[in-house]
Amino acid sequence: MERYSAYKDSGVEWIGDIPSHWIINKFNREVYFQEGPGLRTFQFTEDGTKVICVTNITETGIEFDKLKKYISEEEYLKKYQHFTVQNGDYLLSSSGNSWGKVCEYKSDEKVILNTSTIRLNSLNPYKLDKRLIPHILNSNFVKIQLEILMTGSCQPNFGPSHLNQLLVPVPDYAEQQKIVEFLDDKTAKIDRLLQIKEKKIELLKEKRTSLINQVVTKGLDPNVEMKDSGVEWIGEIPKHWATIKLKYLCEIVYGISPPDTTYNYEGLGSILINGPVEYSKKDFGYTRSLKWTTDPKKFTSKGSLLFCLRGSTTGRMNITHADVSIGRGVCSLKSKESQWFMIYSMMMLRIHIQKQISGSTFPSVTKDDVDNYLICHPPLEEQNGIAKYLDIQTNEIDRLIKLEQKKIELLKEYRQSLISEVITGKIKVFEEVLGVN
Amino acid sequence: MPNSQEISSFIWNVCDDVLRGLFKQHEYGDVILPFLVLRRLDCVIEPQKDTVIRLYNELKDDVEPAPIIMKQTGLRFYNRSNFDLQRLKGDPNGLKNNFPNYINGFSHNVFEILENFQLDKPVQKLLKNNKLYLLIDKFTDIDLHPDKVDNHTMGQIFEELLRKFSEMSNETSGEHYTPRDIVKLLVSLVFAENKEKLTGSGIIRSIFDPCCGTGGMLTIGKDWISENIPNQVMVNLYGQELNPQTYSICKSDMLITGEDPDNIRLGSSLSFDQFEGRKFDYMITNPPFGVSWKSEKDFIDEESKNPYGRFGVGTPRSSDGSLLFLQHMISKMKDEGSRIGVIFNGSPLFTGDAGSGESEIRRWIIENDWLECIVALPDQLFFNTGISTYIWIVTNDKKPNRKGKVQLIDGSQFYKAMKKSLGSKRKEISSEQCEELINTYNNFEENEYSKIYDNEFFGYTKVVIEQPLKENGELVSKKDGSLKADTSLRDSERIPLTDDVEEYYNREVKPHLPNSWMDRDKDKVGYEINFTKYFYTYKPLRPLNEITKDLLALERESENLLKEIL
Repeated sequence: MERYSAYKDSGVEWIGDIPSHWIINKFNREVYFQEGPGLRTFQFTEDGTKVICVTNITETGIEFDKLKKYISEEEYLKKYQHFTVQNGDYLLSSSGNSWGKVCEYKSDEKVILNTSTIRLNSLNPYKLDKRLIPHILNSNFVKIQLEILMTGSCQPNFGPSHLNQLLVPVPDYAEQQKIVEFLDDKTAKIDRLLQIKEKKIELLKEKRTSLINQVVTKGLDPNVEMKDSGVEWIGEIPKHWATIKLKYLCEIVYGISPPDTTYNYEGLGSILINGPVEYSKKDFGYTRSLKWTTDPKKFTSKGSLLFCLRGSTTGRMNITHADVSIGRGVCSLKSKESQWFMIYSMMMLRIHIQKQISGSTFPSVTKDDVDNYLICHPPLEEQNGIAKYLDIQTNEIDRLIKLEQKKIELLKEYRQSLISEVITGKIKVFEEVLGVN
Repeated sequence: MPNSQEISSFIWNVCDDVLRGLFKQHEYGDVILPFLVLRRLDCVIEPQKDTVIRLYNELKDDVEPAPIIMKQTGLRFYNRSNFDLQRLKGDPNGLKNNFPNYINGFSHNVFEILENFQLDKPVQKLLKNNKLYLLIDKFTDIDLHPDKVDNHTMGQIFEELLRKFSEMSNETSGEHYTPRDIVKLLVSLVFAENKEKLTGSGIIRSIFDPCCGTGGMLTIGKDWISENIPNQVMVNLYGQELNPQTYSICKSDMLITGEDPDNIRLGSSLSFDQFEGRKFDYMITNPPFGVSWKSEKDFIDEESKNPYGRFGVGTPRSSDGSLLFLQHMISKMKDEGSRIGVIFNGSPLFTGDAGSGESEIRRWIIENDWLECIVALPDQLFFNTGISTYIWIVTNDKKPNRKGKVQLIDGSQFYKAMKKSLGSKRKEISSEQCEELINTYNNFEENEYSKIYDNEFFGYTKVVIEQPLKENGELVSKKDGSLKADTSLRDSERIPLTDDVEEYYNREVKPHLPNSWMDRDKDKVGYEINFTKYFYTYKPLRPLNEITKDLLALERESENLLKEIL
């Protein structure tokens, strides 16, 4: 990329050198900003003037779907008129985990600011193109300065007093417009690409599910004769298959918890899996050795499928990473035939039963439920073939998902660096035909 | 007329200005609630204050003055002292003596109510810190006369305050003040089917709530009748409440609005039935969700041994007493027909295996053909909890077309999001949606939200399946020649009452366990209602080729974009 012809030291460590004809100025000499008042809960009403709260600010715009707060018209007129947000103001979130989000307010609807939201606009539109404001706020050097100012407070939180101390580089006015046009174009494209990648990951996950579903219920041969299984989520199955209750296909062990006085973390006795605590986060991932018991009650072998029986995690499944003992929160399933065919089938069953589980007040499934869940039952040879096929296919999809996730990280990094380098003049994004320098 | 919002913000200001620092936040209610009641009582009796004082002084030496005072003034209660909150302000330094004088001046029926508030301690504290005057001064600023603040609004204020105070003290005792939208639906469902029974002359009807709280359900029930029934129906309200503070509020408001306060009684409906032997036409309640009844276990277990007692058919697990309240109400059904509406969480629908207390209670209700309808409500309707809830309509007077059948209505999507959430309450049922649900109920037809099943649909036989015991590879026989069972392999099957047991066994079990047999001596019948299952609709996954098409389209777009960016 091109560079400007001459540079000087900005005097600010985080900004570094800037083009020699640019200046460094205090943020508050270029930008007007105001934080909202601290409204109290009892001031909120059912109707009236809408209030922008910190959670309403997202990178893509103002979102009122999740949270709508109002104050009465009367109170607005009496005390808060000067906090009205104008069409074209920028809004910045200044507390919470997602501090630093910026978006433009593009509406004529009357809204006022709440605390922890800041509105900004150019002090002099002929000196600073206001469209530069979000890019400045998104630059590394601003984030760094704010982070330094915020250190020491346990909750991320900054306000006008912090913004007052910010130093920013200011290009020539004509250059500003070129910079804005360039950055607006590039960031829009990057954002669209990020969106596409997120969507792609979603589709890949959907494909994974749909693939497993198709294969565990229809088999690998598309030309085989079919019949109705009589089970809604399974639909048609190959004519030579059957459905089977888990209790007839698997050895099912229901856990019993040892007394907790026998728990230890030094590896004495048997590894104990009580429930989701010892699961890995990933669905159908492998369990972990976190605690042991010297008085195990129920055992299951490595490679068994564990099923959470109660609580908000009911239905979550993991595969045992070793021979372990199990507590009352889980049961273990070991197929008498192909273990992995059964596991893939359970992935689909889980989707089917999830809605019923989560619909109840205290989610739980009983022994009766688990024993009698129905899955497809192909001949053993086909089970093995299906398991092998799915191993290869799902691995490939998982690899693609990881790759996309990595690309997303890189793109985000690229986006921030690009903005920072353009805003500090490290790279020049236009032809010098404007008579500058 | 001040609305509830304004009054509650007035109250929070009082808390801020007078109580803060002096009381802990969770103690605010102990001061605020009784003073609200006092102010409301004052507003009612104020116009006749002087008449009462005069009459009392004239009569006190000769006769019991109460009946004459009430007759002459038309008041149902009065205060014979020289003071009310307004007049107490006239002598700021005399508060120490005048305040007790004022409280003791109330007629007996009010005094009894005030006793439950245990005002003594907070008043001493306020006096000691010179805050009583300030508090009284604030309260006299607000007019709480029932003409200005009706019973609904007052109830709403009380309930909001109780909710907030209990939030502050982190109480999770499972007490949930029932929001109005739910009560309206419940009440409409209970009365709708009975319109013609309420039409006629000289009709007297009773409504009872065994967990009445501040009495909101009862008054809404009464209002429904006066709004929907053209002729005069005399409606008597009865309620019992466990919490002394809530009980007092309920009683005082009944007094103020002209109900008979003697019909509101204190104590647990389960172990201290204050209406023993009484029967009621309508019963509506929202018992606490999933609350343990261990503390009352001895009493209830004893009663359950009596086959004619309320709990003769069985008792639920001790960790959840919900169904006990339904049994309590069923015992109060009139022979000529009563209707019950009760709000439960999901548990009473399905907890308990065949033969357990819960299942036996369900079986008893369904086999007697008392269960008429269950409506699933949206979640996040209550102030203190987001759980899903259900309205059960139970009656011994089903219409002919409903006999032998249960209607299930899935109302879980009938809500609108509230602009401002109140505690856990984020959703409400609008009056149109309420109307639609009631129509669905009245029409008694099947559709997307309504399913109608025969009673026996919910029942099943739990049949024990045995397999033979093998020792050293040999089958073991009993003395009578039959095979001995291996108890470690014992299994059971739930066979729907609508299915044939033998056929089911041959079809579902025999192929997998060819050596097994059924031990029919151990058969048990169970009942359960798997609400979500009946309304679950399977949504097929998208086929692979559709997904692939979308993926390819994205891929093309992203390639071009990347080139433009870099």
